Amino acid sequence: MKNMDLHPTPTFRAVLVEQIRVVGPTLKPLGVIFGGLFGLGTILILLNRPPDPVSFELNYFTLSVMALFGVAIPLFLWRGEESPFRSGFPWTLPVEKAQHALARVGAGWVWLMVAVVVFILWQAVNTLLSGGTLGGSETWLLAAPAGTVEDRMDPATMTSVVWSQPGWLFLVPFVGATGVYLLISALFLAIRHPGRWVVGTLLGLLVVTLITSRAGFNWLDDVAGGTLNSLLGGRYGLSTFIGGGTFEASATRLPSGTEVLVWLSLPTFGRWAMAVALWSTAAIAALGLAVFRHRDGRGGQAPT
Amino acid sequence: MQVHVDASDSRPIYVQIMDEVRRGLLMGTLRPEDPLPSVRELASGLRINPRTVLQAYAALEREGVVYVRRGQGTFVSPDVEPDEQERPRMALEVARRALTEAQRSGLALDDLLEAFRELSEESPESDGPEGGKV
Amino acid sequence: MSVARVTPILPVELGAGPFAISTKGLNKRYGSIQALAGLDLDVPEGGVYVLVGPNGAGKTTLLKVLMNLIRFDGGRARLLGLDTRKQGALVRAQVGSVPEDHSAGYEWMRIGRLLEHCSAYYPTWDQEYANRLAAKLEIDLTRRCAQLSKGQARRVQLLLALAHRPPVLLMDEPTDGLDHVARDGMLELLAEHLTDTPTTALISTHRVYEIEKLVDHVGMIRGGRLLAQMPTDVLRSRLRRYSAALPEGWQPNEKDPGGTLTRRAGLGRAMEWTVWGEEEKVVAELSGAGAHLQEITPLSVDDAATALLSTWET
Repeated sequence: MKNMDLHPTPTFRAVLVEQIRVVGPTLKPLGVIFGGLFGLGTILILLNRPPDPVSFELNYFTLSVMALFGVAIPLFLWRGEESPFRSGFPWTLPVEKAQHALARVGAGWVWLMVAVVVFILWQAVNTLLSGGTLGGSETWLLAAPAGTVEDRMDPATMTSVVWSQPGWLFLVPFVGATGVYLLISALFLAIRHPGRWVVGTLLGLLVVTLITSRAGFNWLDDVAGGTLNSLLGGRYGLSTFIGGGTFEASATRLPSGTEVLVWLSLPTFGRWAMAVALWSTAAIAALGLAVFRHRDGRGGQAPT
Repeated sequence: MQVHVDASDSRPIYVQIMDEVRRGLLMGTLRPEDPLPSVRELASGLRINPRTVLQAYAALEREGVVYVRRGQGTFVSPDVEPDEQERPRMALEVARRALTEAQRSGLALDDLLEAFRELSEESPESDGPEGGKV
Repeated sequence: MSVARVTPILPVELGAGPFAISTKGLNKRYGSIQALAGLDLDVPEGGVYVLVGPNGAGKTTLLKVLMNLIRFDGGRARLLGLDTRKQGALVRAQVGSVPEDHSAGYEWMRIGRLLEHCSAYYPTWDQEYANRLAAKLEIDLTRRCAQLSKGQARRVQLLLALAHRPPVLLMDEPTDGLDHVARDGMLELLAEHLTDTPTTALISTHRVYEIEKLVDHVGMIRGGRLLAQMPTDVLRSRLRRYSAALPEGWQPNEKDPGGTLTRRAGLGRAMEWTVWGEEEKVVAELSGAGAHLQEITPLSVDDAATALLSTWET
């Protein structure tokens, strides 16, 4: 009898759409900061026409910047009263809390993708303004297989390769930023004061390192080094996930004195795809767990 | 006609509303077939629960003082005769209140009756809308 | 002035229902504070129920529990037959709430935009009604939420609570922060709203006198427990002030009628008892003891609740 008269809850779709509309203005300060920086950059390019035209590359710098968007957005989304750890206005609305948090994450992601597109377009504009061309190929130096890049190297140990950006490389910023975004979102949803934890962990590591190094035992390299290295820089590490394999270059000095970039290996789709599979699984799992923590009814803060 | 109710009055609010309607009938401001304020008007105007208004109107309807015209609201009964029914009832209520007040001051019924006799001798014009002596 | 007696047994049963809100043995602990201690509360459908009690009695905790904003430790709570714990979102869709704090919406958002925002979340949102409410409450739709004064924020919260015409209203000190005129306006609005929309209201406040005329049930809470709940008619008929003149040789403390909450002396031989009980019995007891009864008056809900709460021994 009663159920016929009950007021319905909104659909998830309606909530997601409304969150997208709300998150936009929430991210305005971020947009202003980045917009200002971008604008400044373009003006500088216009003023100082560089000798070599700026060409748009998906490389260490550009891909890292776009991944950083994925870090910055959660910072703005979950601050203050909108934190799921506080009893703010959004959680009084007729949506299950975990679902609501997920909708907000989704809304932030939509704007993240917008930011990535805007950044790529800006780069393209800069390229054209400075007289460069989009696309085209380059000559890269590749180190011998199973070799390492050292401070000084003999050209004889390297081979020249002609490289042009493959199509799949354009997926990398979108996927990479998404993955980072999901991981950082999970951090903010899982921990009440993520800032404190990050600072605390770093300080702790610093202290431990100082102590152990006095004892002559460099634990960071021996114990943690291996894991951390493969996690971040390994074959399927974070750098592969964000960079698509474009981070695998180091500077070296030739006997002639010139500094060049030498590649350890060329980016391949297969390697990147595997990194994506691993990291996206981890990110989605982390987010799932973090969101689960906030399902309806949890919360025991002291009465005001 | 203004309806007034008071939360600190000893009568329940719905009784106060009924008394106000009777007062209107006696004073002539409410006549047969006149509409009573809607439940919404009266509830919001007096800041009271609409159910209280409904209770008052229902009780008045049971007594035959008002009736409901479907879709139009509550109206004063055409055959209500304020003088015959309401006048004595109202007089009794007022007298009861006067007596209670008197007793609070240590007076008795006889003291009051004596006082009323004095009053009626003082000012023979003090009568109701119909005129005539007390 | 007042003498505490064996506290009379006060009613807590409201009959068979149907109840729009019903809790049984509700427990909530914050560290060492027991905010709710086995609360059994019922609000009949269509009733306007005022919950009275001192600060820290558990009123705010109860309202938050009903909206499933906080978890409780034991017992159960139902709203319109829904389990508040398992169906939190659906429960919140049935509720219009005016919370204890004065925050509404998001700091940067304009009120007009906030109304639009809420309309997306409440499918039963009545935009026309919302506009009328905004006009009546004199809310400036162009202002940002952060720029609102306490009273203005309260009015916005009231608008948000009423505009989707929910079957249940939960209000925590709704008149707090409002000036006299605004309070009166709010009461007028509520009376209208109650006429137009079938609503059950649970209002928590310690300023009962303001909303007394709207209320038909009262519950008294203290230390997280319900001392009594009853229709206001019952309160009116059972709790009375009896004024009498005492005869010579009256012995205090001996001849107080059963159910006396307070006894207060007036000038000379005047004495006033506040008694819970059937009027006939009390009158008989007092007369039997020799007192000359002069006046019997009911108490306002406000005074009645105060009398009952202050004489209760925890």
